[in-house]
Amino acid sequence: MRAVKILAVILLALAPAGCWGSRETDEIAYVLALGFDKGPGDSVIVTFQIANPRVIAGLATGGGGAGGGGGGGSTVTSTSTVAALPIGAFYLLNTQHSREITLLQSTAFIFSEELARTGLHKYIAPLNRYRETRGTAFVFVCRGKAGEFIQKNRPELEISPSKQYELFSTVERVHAMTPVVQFREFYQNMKSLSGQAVAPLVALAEKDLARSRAPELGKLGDHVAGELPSSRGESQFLGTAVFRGDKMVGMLTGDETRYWNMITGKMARSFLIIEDPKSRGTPLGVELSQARQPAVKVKFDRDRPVIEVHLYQEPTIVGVSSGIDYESPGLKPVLEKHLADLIERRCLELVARTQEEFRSDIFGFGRYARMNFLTRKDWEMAKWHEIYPEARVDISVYLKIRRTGLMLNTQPVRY
Amino acid sequence: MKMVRTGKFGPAEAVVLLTLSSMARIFLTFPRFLVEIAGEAAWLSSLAGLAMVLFQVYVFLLLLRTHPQKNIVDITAEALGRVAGTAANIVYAAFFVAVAAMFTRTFSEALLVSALPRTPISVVSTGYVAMGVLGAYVGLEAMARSARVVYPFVVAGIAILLLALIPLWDYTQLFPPLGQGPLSILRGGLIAGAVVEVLLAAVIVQSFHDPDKFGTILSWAMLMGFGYMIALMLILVMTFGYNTAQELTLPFYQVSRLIYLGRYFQRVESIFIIIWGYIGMVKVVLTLYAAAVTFAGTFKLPDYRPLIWPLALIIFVASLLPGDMPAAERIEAVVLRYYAWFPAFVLPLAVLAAGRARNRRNRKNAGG
Amino acid sequence: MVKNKKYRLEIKQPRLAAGIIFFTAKACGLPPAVNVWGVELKKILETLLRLITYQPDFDREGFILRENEYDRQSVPERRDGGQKSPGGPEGGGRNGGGEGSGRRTPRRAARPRRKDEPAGEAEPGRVHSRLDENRRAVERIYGLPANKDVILREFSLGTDPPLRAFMVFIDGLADRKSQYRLLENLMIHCRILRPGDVMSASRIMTSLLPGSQVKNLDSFEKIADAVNYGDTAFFFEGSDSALVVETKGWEARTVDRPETEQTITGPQEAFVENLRANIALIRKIIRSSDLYTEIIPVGARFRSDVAVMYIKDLANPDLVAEVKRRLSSITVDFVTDVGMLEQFIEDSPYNLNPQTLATERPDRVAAALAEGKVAMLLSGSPFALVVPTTMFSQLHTGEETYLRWQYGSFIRYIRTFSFYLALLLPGSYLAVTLYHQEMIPTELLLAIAGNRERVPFPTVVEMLLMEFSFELVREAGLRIPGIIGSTIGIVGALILGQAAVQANIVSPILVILVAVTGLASFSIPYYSLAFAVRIYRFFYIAMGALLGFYGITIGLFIQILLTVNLKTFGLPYLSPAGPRTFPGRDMVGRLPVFLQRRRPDYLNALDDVRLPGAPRGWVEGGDGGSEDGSDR
Repeated sequence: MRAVKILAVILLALAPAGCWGSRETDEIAYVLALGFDKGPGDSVIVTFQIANPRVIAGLATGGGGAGGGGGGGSTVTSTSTVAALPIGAFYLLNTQHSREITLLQSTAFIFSEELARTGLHKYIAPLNRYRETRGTAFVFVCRGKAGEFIQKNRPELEISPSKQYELFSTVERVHAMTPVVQFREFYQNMKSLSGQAVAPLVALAEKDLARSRAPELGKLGDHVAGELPSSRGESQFLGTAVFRGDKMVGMLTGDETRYWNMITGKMARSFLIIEDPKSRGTPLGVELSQARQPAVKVKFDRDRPVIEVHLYQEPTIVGVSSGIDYESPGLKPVLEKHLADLIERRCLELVARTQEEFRSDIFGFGRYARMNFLTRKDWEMAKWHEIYPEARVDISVYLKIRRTGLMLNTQPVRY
Repeated sequence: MKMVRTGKFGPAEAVVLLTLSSMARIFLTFPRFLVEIAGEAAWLSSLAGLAMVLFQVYVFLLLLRTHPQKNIVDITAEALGRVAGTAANIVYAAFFVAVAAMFTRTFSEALLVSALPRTPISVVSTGYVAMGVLGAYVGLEAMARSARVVYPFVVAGIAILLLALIPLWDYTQLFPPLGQGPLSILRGGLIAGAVVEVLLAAVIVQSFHDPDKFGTILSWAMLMGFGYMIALMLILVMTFGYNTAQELTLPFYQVSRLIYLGRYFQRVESIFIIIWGYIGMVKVVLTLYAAAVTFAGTFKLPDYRPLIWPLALIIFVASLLPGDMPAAERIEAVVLRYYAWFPAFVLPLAVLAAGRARNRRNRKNAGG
Repeated sequence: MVKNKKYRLEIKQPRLAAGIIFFTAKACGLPPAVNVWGVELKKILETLLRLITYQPDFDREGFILRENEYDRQSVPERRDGGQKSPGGPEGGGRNGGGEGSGRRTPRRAARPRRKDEPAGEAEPGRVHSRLDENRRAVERIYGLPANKDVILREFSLGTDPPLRAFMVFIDGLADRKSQYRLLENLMIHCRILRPGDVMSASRIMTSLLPGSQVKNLDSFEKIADAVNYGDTAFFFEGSDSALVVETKGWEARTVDRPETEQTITGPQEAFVENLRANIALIRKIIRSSDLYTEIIPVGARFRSDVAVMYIKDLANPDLVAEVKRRLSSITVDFVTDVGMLEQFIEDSPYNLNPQTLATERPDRVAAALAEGKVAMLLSGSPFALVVPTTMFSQLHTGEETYLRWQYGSFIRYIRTFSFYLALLLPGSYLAVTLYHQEMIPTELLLAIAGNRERVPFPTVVEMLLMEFSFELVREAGLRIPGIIGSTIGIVGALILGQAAVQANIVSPILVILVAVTGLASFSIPYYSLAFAVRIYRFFYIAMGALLGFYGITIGLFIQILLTVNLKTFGLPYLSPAGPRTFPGRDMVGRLPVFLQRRRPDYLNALDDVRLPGAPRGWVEGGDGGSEDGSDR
């Protein structure tokens, strides 16, 4: 067949192309996480966390297959370099590492708080242009030095830190005390007219359990990363860094982050310890879960926006230490009312804080405000970021205790 | 005169072939350009473009209906006379060559940006042109069948892509609904409506099993092609939002990069390279074939195939002419899309008018 | 040198280029012995130039299976636009396929069928009425005293007066028992005849020989043909013809289980080497007087019989005629297997895909015949060729039809998946690990990379090494005699893989990959198609290693284009998918048999309807309550 012969000629023509651009897996160093710190002058210190595949595959101990991770060196290694642009640092790094650096597998970008407060655009924009950067990588803000965090963060349960970062985004569904922000989202919000960016806070733990204060009722996890009392002297993922444009302007604690998650509809489940409404000073545990997405409506009262937020929650009673049977039809509404009031109050406090302290619409209310406009021009004229702090926000919480755990009735303790 | 036989294909194959061809541009920078022009209402622009294309189809239908056994090349030659007709036909052919060259370049660039950053562009372009030659040589019948065989996979791939992005859909990004304003929407529609497929279908109409169904086939193909475009526009704006979407080089690719369904289903964009690589090849095959057939028809050659080699060379060289990728993109989006209206619409309209006038004169002569 | 100059003067344009190359080679200091090479090079170059220069080729299509009268009637909206023009478009709209050209006028087959038979001195010998002449002629034909196989026995009939006669047969081919009975009859029982009866051969045939198949022949050529195939020839004094009695009875394999197409359910018979037995196996299934068997002899020097079987009122007559035309046009000295026959009659010998279906299962042949296809059987070959065939039918085993439709569909989907695996897995792996590393989950990638750290070869070499070893194990496993063959195959593969990993020659994931690919290619039911896939796989390995997924795309584009362009006996190879026709609900997924009401549309059978009336007559509605009872 003639076509086959033609094909042969074409293949011959393609053959000299060689294997341009092919890279063997053992010629590449895979960067799993990148840390950014402020360097001397205008420069930036980039810390790379590079996987060591030999250890991960269990080959480091020698003797072939059966090595099995025991003491054969660390699974990751990290290096810091100073450069004016983050991408430039890769090329500098190649003078120290025998392997080509690739970002294809990087799952986390960690910026130090110091850097974040001076503005991130000039670091983020090159990353966004670079083809190896993943829009699905996670963004973190580190209290303290990002480089130090990367060096000291050694997850014990995970083989590679990249899995740790990814799993933190999954485990967030359980506690909702940290936002989950992908690079794409962060970048979009940085440029958006209708919302502002946030990023989760990470830090190395500073305090140990002994020096902790007594936890306040009605709040759970009211700390930012690094300050949570724990015996583990290691990394913590807790709380939110609030941005205005590309500059960080403040922090939310884990407790506040829960309400942020609630208002943005990202909270799947969370836990709350409140004060027992019938018995002062006794803690009562409820597991919150979202019944459906919150409904947000934005109207304009002349030029002042009026934001209505309806939250729908379905908590489950987890622990009642007072022994009062809140399962009974008479007492259930009491608890519901108490809980709803608490949530509403805490949400309003949070909103007030963003309006007054941060002047930043981190909830993305602007997305709903946009619906009042017909064309882009009108919307740009409205200057949402400027009018948001003046907005009136009404929050109503619809709350129904659907389940009461494994107990349908509570008998008091007898003696 | 004996013409070479190239086989025929049924309506289903024809529709799919033209659909794939019209889908080609949504994988390139074109959606970005539309978002830049129309803003959040980019999908409305596509809708407007669809309306314009359907009008174009109607004009062509009027044109072809008068001469059932002929394609646009013969009709133009007949209606405009020898000199003007030949000139018009050469304009058509040049248009095809330009489109082929432009798509070869932009698809190669896209591939370089997305998947093969270290491969020389000439190698990738050679691949496209070589496939174009092969496809045009083997003939349109095989090409149409092959498209029909591949189509379910294309649909499945695109469906997976769009559905995997559901978690990222944010309908509020589509507001304000009119985007940059009604005028911009129309301007976007003008660009979206400048397609090569209508003219192309009129050139290859003799390969259809039922040339009478020209209008139906083409309308279906355009509906499907624009359907994909509208879907992509909606999803592009919904996932990225106007501000970011208009920064993207390759919206389709960058959208596919965002797929993240847990730790195991992510970073699958390379799979889509197969789909859009294939569609790019179909586009190059079709335009190269159409250019060769147009030339052959213009100069009354019995066979189009000797023309494939020189045309392919021209396309290859022309594809390397623009200096850089933004320049290539500008040429595609600004120059070609606006000037496409001349060969794709204005000229056929002139042919239609000339044909009518000639008919009337003939009738008058016959009557008087 | 002088000679070379002369050469250069006389050459025409294409040769000029070759000449230039040749002289460059000369200039480069190659020794004069390259002269021969120069000529070879010229030939290659001429071929190349012919490839890239223009050659008019107006009629690119050969035989096309067109729609028949029945179909035309059933498609009322068909237009006869170009039908008037000679060779104008003829195909129907629904068929969708490339019926662009009319049927080409049958090529005048230059058929140098050799009429001059080897035994030149026997001349167009007719049987003489004198027995001695005949005897001499037979001795001449068979070279008798020297040729020990051929037995010539003289005897006389027990009539009054005794009639001299002799018989000729080949030892081992003819059955002794029936010969004994024949002789008994002729020598003893013929005493019942009255003396003085005219003892002509025909008289003996009608009243004396008890054989069921007796022919009265007078040409030595035909007699020899029959004797060579196990018959016994009787010559009688005074008769100018001989009687050829069917006494075929050689040692043959009995009907056995299928070896290459094993199934769990369904009939467990396979063809044997005996043509008659094979035909009987099919006839046993299709008990119809419409099943025709035509015998066409092939083989110019050594004759073989090809039986062309079809069902008269189903098979498209054009198809049958085309099969017969191709068969009778081939010139070959001898054919031992349908595999050889296939190469003579297929449409595109240069395409990798097999274009006929060779099967050893009579039930599959019967099913194909019942769809309107044509089968060819060759004497001495335990396979039947079925034409036309599509790629989809090559991926079927027939077993799916015997299973309930859910199970059948499930098997077929698995098989389809494994087809893609066998074709694309190694190539895609190379593309991913060399170009698109981001696609692999991080942990897996790190594991792959870690395991590769000690491997000293590039991934492509690793892959080729493993693929080659696998092919080696497969081939060796076939050739190793006896039972140990299959064991060695598996054990060899396992040990080889394990040892290669431990010696750090290949990485473990690659062993898994190659093993899975191998398994997948074994699950392709048709041996020839599996071959094609195995060869294509190397093509994809090359493309994947060269250009990543773009290379794979190029490969797919080329393969799909060429495969779709392929025709088998006028039928597009990928029907009913490309071109799209009515699929008959039996392509990849298989719907219940009672919904398969029509024969495959692309075959253009004479009778389209497979299940008229109500297939499940006992149910109300008659069709098992399907969502659409009417198929079109």
